[in-house]
Amino acid sequence: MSNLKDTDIDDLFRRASDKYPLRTDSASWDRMAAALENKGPEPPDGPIAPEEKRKRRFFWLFLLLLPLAGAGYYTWHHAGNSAASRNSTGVAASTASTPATVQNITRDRPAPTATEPASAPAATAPASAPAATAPGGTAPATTAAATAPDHTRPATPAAPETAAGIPADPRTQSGRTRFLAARSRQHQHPGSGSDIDQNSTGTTGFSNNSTTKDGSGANSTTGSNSANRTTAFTVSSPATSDRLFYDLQRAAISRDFRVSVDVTAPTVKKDSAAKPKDKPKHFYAGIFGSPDLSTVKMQSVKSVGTTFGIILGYTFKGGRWAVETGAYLDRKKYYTEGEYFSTQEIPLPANSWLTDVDGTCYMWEIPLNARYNFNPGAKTSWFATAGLSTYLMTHEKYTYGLDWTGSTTTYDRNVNLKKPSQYPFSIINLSAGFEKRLGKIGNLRVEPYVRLPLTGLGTGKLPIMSAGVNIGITRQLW
Amino acid sequence: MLYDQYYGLCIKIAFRYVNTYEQATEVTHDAYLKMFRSFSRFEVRDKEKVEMLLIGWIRRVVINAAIDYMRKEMNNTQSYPIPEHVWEHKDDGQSSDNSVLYKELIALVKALPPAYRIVFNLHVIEGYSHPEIAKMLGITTGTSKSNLSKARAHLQKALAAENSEKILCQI
Repeated sequence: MSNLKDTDIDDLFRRASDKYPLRTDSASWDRMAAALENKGPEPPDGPIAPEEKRKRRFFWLFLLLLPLAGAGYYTWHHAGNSAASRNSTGVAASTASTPATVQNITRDRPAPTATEPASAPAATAPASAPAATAPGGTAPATTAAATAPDHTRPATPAAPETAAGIPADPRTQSGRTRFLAARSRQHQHPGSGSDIDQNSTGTTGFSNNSTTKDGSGANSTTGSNSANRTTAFTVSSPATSDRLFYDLQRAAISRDFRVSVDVTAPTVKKDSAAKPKDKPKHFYAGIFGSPDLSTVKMQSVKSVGTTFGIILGYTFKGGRWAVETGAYLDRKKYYTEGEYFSTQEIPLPANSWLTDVDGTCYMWEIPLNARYNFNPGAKTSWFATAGLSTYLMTHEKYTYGLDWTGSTTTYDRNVNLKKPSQYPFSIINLSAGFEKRLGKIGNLRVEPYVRLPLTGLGTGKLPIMSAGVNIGITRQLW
Repeated sequence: MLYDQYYGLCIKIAFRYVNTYEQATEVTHDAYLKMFRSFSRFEVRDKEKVEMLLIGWIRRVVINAAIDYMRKEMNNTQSYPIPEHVWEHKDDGQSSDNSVLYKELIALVKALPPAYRIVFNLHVIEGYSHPEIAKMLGITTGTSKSNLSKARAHLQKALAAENSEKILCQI
């Protein structure tokens, strides 16, 4: 057998593929009609209809946002309770023991001075602690997703765009055209015995035994050996069960047959999904903004911070993988009970302790993420990212409550860091989302994220966890 | 009727790609659904060529449906024996002999690993070029050529095990 040429083998298998005796009586028009009329469910393993795809997308988006919404509700709910309890206890204690000058919540309040009640133990001590920065350094509180187009392929079956979701492949005309022409001649030859020829008993096309719309439409294409073949495109009144198909057929035939123009291949509608414009390897950039919910050890979130930034990325591996970096400007707002706040850098008066801290910190964030695209090139592509971030904290501001021997007071403290605190690669970034093409504008990017600290941040060395949804626009650069 | 008339063509195309007859039936069903739902997109301006264009269109839809199906089943590399009941039985001498041969050849194609089978079908039977196949399957042209080469090697080897004289007579 080694003397068999590839062309011989190919020819042998081509003949076999045309003439092999497969049973063809499994056709079930009733099932087809039912599926068409009901727009019935696709078979479990079958292709997914576009509507179904759309529904699934929304479903997954909904699932994606569900935890976020839950967390938001939880924090909001919890924040309300916590604030209420704080107000009730703090105010009472404060008013009881620090009658005159000490207030429960003071903004830009200077450090306690000698006006503190003399009865308070170590009355001078609070002055030494917050007063290190205080009186002059009072910043305002801010807490408040057949053929190539126009290819003409005379004498060959053309393949237009098929169905939704089926890519239309542009063809080269050379070998394929010759090949199909040869195949079509084979089909048309009565003696060649293809299944279609045999089954159609000399009549091809749409035939239902009655009104001949175009009797002269006799034969066709290659012109050879076609005397006993009539391409009689006839349409009769269909049975009621075939009504839907009849309508489809009549619509197509009546339209197409009124027009006699030169042969052109069926037009192909462009499917943007089939022809992704994105190059497999390219740089892209984008801008985004996001609300930022930060929490310390899953305590309540009392206010919402912000994140704005730019991202730069490079895709490779056929668009499936990408690396991303960028620069984000974060303003994180958080609340914590005093026990989690490190007081190493805040000298507290003797016999005093922190009750709670409301903090705001400003920082630059430089992420380095790996991104995986689940369906690169699609109109709406889904992705997940993971990586590490570096925080460069530039400014911190705290409002904390201090309690000592039954008296509670609240201090504001602003910390302008001359040298930004650096936390290199100390934050884990996790996110998942989608990018949707918006045309020339670029891509809409929606990306819920969570950032998990690997170390304590800021003066209080707090493990600030953040979550949010980045919403922005990205564009391919080159 | 379009459905009945071309059902044989469709299922024979699908059967060469997928593993079982039942899967071929499903692929054919899906392909017809797509055809009927997008029939308005089938535009022909020359009535004399409508049949050829229609057949080409049908072929393409079935092939695409089969590829879609294969993608989902690509992990299933199991080879299935072809049960006898899927064959049409004819008892007319010479053509019957040929039928047996054709059945064996199709069985050889279906015994190929899915990645080789799909490229062999697309290139050899359907006549697509390697760049076209690469684009359809999302693979490189080199992979397409490699898969075809391996498919041919598999078939050569399998054919060598068959009755070589019988096959040579057919060529």
